[in-house]
Amino acid sequence: MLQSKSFVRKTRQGKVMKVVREHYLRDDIYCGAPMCEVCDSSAARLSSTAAPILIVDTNVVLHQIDLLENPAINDVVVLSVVLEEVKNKNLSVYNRLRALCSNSLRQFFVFSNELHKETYVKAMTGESPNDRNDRAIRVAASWYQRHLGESTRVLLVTNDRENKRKAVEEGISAETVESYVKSLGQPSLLDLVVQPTFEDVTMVEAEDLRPSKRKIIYSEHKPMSEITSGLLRGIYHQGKLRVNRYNPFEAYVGSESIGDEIIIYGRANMNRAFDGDRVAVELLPQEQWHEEKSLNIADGEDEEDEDVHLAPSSADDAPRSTNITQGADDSVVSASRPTGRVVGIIKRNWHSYCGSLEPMPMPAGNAGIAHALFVSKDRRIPKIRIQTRQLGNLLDKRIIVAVDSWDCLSRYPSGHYVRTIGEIGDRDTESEVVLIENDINSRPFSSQVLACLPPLPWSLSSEDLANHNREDLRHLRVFSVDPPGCRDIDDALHCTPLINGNYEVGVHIADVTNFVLPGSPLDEEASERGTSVYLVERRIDMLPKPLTEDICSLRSDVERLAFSVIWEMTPDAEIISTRYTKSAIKSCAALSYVEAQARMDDSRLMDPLTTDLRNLNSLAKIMRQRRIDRGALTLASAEVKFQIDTETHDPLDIGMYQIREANQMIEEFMLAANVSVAEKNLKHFPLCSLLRRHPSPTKEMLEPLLRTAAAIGLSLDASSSKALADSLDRAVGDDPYFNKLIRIMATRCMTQAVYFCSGDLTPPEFHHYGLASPLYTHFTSPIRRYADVIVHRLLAAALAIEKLPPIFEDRPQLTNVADNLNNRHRNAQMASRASVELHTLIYFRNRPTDTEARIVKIRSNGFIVFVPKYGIEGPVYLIRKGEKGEWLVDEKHQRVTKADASVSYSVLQPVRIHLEVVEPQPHRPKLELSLI
Amino acid sequence: MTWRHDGHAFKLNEKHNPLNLLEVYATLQEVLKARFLISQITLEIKTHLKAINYWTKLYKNSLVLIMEFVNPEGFRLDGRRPMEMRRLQAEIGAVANADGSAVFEMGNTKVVAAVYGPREVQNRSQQISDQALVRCEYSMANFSTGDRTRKQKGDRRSTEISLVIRQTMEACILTHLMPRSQIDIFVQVLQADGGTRSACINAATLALADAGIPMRDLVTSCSAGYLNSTALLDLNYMEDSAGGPDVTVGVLAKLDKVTLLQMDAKLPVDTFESVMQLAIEGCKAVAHYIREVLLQNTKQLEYRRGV
Repeated sequence: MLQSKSFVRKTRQGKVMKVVREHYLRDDIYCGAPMCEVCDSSAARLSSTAAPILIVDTNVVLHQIDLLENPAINDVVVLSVVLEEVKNKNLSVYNRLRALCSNSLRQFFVFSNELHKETYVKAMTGESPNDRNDRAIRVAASWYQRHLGESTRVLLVTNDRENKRKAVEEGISAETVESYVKSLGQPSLLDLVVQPTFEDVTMVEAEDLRPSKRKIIYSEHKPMSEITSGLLRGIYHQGKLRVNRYNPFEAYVGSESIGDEIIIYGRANMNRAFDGDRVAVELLPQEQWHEEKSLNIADGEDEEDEDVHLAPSSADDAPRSTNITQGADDSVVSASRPTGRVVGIIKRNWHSYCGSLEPMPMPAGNAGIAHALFVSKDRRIPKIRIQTRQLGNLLDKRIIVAVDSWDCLSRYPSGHYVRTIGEIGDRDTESEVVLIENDINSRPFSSQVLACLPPLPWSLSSEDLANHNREDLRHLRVFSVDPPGCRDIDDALHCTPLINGNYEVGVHIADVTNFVLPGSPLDEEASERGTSVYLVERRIDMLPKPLTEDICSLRSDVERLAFSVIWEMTPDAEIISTRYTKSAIKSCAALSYVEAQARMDDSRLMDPLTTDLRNLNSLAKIMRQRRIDRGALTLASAEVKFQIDTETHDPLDIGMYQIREANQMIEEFMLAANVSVAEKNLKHFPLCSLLRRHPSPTKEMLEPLLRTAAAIGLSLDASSSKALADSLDRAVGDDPYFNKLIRIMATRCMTQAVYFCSGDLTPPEFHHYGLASPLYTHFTSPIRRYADVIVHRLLAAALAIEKLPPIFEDRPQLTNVADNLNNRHRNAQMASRASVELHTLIYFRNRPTDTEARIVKIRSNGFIVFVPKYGIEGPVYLIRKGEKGEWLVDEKHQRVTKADASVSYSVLQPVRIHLEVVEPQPHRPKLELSLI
Repeated sequence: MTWRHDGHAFKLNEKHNPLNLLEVYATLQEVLKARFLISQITLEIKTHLKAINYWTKLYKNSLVLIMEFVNPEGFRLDGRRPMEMRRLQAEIGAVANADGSAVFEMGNTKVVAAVYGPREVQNRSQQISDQALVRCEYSMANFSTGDRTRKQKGDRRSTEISLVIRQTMEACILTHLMPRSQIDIFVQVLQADGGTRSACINAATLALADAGIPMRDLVTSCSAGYLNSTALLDLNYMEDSAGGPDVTVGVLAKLDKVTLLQMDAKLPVDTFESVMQLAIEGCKAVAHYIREVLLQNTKQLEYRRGV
């Protein structure tokens, strides 16, 4: 049966046109119930138990998705009209619903009611789309009841009173979510139910009924129509709200219409917007710009403080401060950045958050229902009010909470409990929080993924050798150098002197793509994970263990498949020719950096392996020098390394990570291989190569560095990477750590390098600032980075060994992959930082320590110090909260002086501090720094 | 770039993504050689560089959305399954003046075809001594798409489609039986909703049959595409404008021969084979329908004559 849909649509140019589309109605859509006698039940998804079949409406899905995800809810029919509405309203809920529908363990069935002959409804004249959809749901529900007969109960679950009334009138059994869940008799499920807002079924809310409490705290959001017209007229500006990670009362909205970021101070001006929401902003009058001081370490509005944290390693991690030059000059102030307030929210970015409940006494009575405040681990998220029946249980637990609504009468948003992770402070719980917060999938690999692995034990087969694309390089003296204890060895090297005095240098990378075939479940999983994540006590692999630690790992004395880049180099490290090939190798030694260094340093050792190492090292030194001459930056970061107790997994010792010559040697050849591969790939596939670029830092980003340098009388030239590198070299103070400190501060100003698809940018933008290389990509670690897997495939296609997988033909998809990789990469870094922070806390729990620290930033009530030995950074207060300050800040010289000028502190000055873990509130330990 | 061999047209236009052109050449050459035993293929590379620029610009300026054309339940946007065609509808004898005419509908695509001839050649210089001259004119009615734009007659697109239809029909008309004569085929798109090329060819076949012009077999045509990693039969406008590959095939159903093959994108060989096979199946279904319509028409004629 054919129905035509016709509707009116406005084109982008503003023309109104009529669109007619065909809509085929069918009679071959099955109901999905196994007990049905009419339908083909081979594809039935619902269970054959006597439980009622649930039909949910759109709002139930949108608001109660956490409940639906609970395994207690089953036998749900999801109508296509519901799916469509959910998709239009909230894509993330849609994806979760889709995941539920495709999960074979859950009985969720999608019924395409819009395509079924008997359940399709045409909008009546004067009927709103919403009413039409509600009617479609009811029609489908009654069809199910008729279709399955009296023996099965079909239950329409809706919270919409009107819809429920009509359903009952039409003879469909309907219930609200609350009453249905209550009928299940599982009280813990009730916590998952989102409390309906007053528009829906009325609920007695104990505290908000008192009129004195009903005070308007936030201004109303403007209606959508007003926002749209305001945006059109240019009085509002839209953009994504980003809350300052280090000061939750300060947010930024990147606005295209202004071309600058709009700063928003205070929760009132943020007007209930969350981090990541798309908001409409109104600019405040210019004289109100910078009404708030951002120079304080933390705002006094709430009891939150700035925590001690790991020293940031790039500009993306660092706290952002608005560069206000406080003081006399008015012209400076007027040149500052626009400030605004949120008038409406275009799109919410709510999801669930990890955290814990604010400690509170157990309330008496009230049938066990308690209202509690939830504090997110992520400081950018405001406290969330939740209702729970199991308060006693949850108080000292880490829990996950989802946000439901934020009324303008309430100070905090309201949400509901989703699940418990574990005890606060417990290492495993906190590690899991880190993983959840950074959206890292640490679940074991699925059986489909594991089915893609070759059978173990794997060994080099004759077929692999017979492949004419694979060169047999087993006769070469290949070896690998890695950190001690490394089990996923993805790179190895060889260096053979040639008769003409040149060297043949080869970099051999594990041939992961030989095992990870494009489009396989294994490939999809890896692409989704994007990268392996290294936490202090564990590693979350991108690929299953048999691949990472055995089949692909280039261990010593076993034959392995590799992808090789082989250069002929002169003794001056000039590359004469480059060759790429798939190969079979047999590593003769898997060295650690320490071993390799020891071999090179021991002048008595003259064995061939050591000679190779020395040759490579001398080549690497030349290459490195050349790179530095080109303007590559030698940056420093304060990486720390833990010694972990093998039994308890508790940290035993912290120390800075030591970099040896051997590390630099390996790094140099990896860089060279990456650059060579990038060149080759780009030559063959100018539009679809995956490259990595590092954008030059803007003046604004370098500003804090230059200001600090100026304060101590050091002049840095940041006009180019070369100039910066040179002036960093010249910045040698009287103490040995000075240069390193300056470098660390410089590193902090840089953004991170990102992956991108070569077709999306113009060649000058491909530049890698830090390495001073026009082209760069990642080729050398396919075991732990998915980007390298893609690059391997591209290179294989460029060599005509393999066909180009279809994903490369679809640029938007490739761009998506690159974006996902950047995201995952960043999340992985954040996770490992968080893990280190967590272990630092555990380490200092029983070890109050005195140590030396450096002042890196001056604030009005104290300063921020960097502790080189432990790589941490945190505030030291000179004035306790609530006290009157007697310190004067000299912004220009970055100095803070006591009022009577007896003591003063200036930037980069060493101070002695005391480190101690304190617990201001039970279960909330934090690291505190104080001056000695 | 165009591959041409009398009756066989294989075209890649600017929409084609020139990722690795040599690979495309090789692939197509292989396919053509294997399938149709064409030994010599002429390559015209006109727009290589232009195409690269075009693509670069297109991608930079547009926000490409990845749409769901086939949902996980296996239904397309309009409720069809991937292997299903749209509704076919044909009517013979819509234009009384013409020697043969037909209206052919594939879903919302509606095309009228009128055939004049065989008749005396109008322009003597074009006359061919041993076979008939086939001419074809394709046009789109101004009202055929939603917006009322005045379309230039003889623009590149319609010239190209005219040529495609002419070549396809020429390959099936027994032109040698009608030397020194002329056959005119006029096709006009009344309503466009994707697959106009195929609908035009089908309408032209019906009109030719109605005019009683001797043919080897009925040529029928159908398109197939490849979206969301699924081969889709008979693309409508929404699916067509997704920018994915669109394979249009013309088939002599009974003889099992391909007379038209066009594709506007790049596809791996194995996928291409399956998509093309699907399109051929579609052509056969169309042929089945057309044959039925013709039979019915003949029966009606018989009845009218009182045979």
